[in-house]
This record gives sequence, structure tokens and C-alpha cells, in this order.
Amino acid sequence: MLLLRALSRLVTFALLAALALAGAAVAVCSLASEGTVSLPWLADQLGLHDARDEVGAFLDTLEEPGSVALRSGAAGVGAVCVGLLLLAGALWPRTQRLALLERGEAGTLGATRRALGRAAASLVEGVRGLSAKRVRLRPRRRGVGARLELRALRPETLPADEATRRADRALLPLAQSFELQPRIRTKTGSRVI
Amino acid sequence: MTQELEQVPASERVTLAGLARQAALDSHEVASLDSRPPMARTVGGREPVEGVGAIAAPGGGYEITLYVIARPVSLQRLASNLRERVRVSAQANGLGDKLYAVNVMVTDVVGGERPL
Repeated sequence: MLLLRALSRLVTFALLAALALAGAAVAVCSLASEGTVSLPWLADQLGLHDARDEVGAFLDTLEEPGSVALRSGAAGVGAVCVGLLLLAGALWPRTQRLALLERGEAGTLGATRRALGRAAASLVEGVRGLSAKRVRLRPRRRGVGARLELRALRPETLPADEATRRADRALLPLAQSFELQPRIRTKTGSRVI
Repeated sequence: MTQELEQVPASERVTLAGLARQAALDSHEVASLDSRPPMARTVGGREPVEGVGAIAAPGGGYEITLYVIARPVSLQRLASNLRERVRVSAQANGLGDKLYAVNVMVTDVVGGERPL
């Protein structure tokens, strides 16, 4: 969906820019009825007379059953599908899954994946030598809690199991409070400051 | 017409949402309120209350949802403090019995201190 959204924005921008340029050209050429900058001149520049002849012949072949008609039909269906996908990308509501952390009579406490990820990364960053590289949170579809996947960089002098243990310990308060299941992976690398 | 609109008192729902917003913003644990989520706005008054959702609860009263951009603190403590602040503010304004529940949705965490 993210890809569709980005694609629809790009296509929208390109189409609007093309439309604006075409509109400006027609508007400028509409100022004079004849001469170098006029609508007939613009039609000549764009080769619309030749295009009309070519398209006319093509439309004649479309009217008869055959491979051209089939290909054109398939292209039309494809264009409709592409249009529907772009519409979905533009109109699909942005939703963000929340991790429910507490649910009680007084109310519910929830957090977005981004917020919890930042909280977890901040905790791990507090461990000497460790640097959180990537945090991914997968809230449970039902109920409270989430699965927390964290990748961190550690210095070469720090063994992997010790680094994992330290990160696990740092995340413990968060994990216990909110029923998070941490899964930590570390690899050697320099800490980015 | 504008004067007539200004004289219309805000509904209990909108008043509660406004009180909840102010109570949240007064907390040092809250960096700001987030009005980007779809339900994070209460309309019906002169101006929409940004970052707060308020809906009628099934058993009466109103359920308030705060969409919070928090500082790095304990999220449980944050939620508990916010509920208390909203409850006290509602009671002080005679709307304590109208407050059904206070939900806290943390949409982002900003700042450099350590959470928890």
C-alpha cells in the first residue's frame, strides 16, 4: 500500500504538471486567431492533422473484429485496472496499528509501533557499547501485548550472548509492563555517534 | 449570527475534551497532543479540540481519548497521571460524573531522556 500511495502521488504530480503546461500552451495560443502563435499553429506543431489521419485509420480497424480490437480491449482493461490501483493508493485511509498495553475500567493505554519502538531503542541505547539499529514491533491482533524484534550493533570486544543479555535486561521493564516478547539480535559494528 | 453562535454554551462532551486537553498539556510528561490520527479531534464547539477524541459511552458519560506525543517516561505512569489529572479537572468543573474513561494513545516519543 505504501508503494501504491507513493506511485499515485508521483503519477498525480506528473499528470498535473503536464496538464498545467498543456493548459498554459493552449491559453497562450488562444490569444491570437491566426499567425505564429495561434491554435491552428499549435495544431500544426503537434501534428494533429497527421494524427487525425492515423487515428482515423486505427479506429476503422477497431470497428472490425480482429487482433487489433482484442489488443485494444485488453489495453483498455489494463488501463482501468491501473486507474483503480492508483485510486486505491490515493484514497485508502492511512491506518496505524496500535499496540494495546493496558486495558481496564479506567481506560486503555495504547501506543503506536513507532512510539514503542523509540522507547525500546532509547532503552537499548542506554546500554554501554550497544546501538539500536532496527526496531520492529508486531502488535498482537487480539488482546494486549506485542512482539518486539530488535537488531543492535555491538563492539567486537563484547560477545554476542553478553550483548543480548544486556539488551534483554534493559528492555525488561518495558517488556514486563506491556507484555512484550523481545527478540534481540546483535552484530558487530561501530557505534554511530 | 456570529454572536448567536458565540452565546451557545459548549456541550458537556466538548467541555470535557477541552478540559482533558488542557490537563494533558499541563503535564510535563506530555510534549504535545497529536491531531493527525483520524479520531483525534472533537468538534461541536466554536473551535475543534485538537488531539482529543470524545465519544458517548454506552452506560452514560463520555469516553475521552488523548493522543499524546510523550516525553520518554514510563508509559504506565504517564497514563495513570493523565487519568488522574483529567479526573480532577472534570470534578473541579462539575463534570466528574460525566467522565466514563480516559484512554491514552501514545503516538510518538520525543526527547533524549530514558523511558521507564
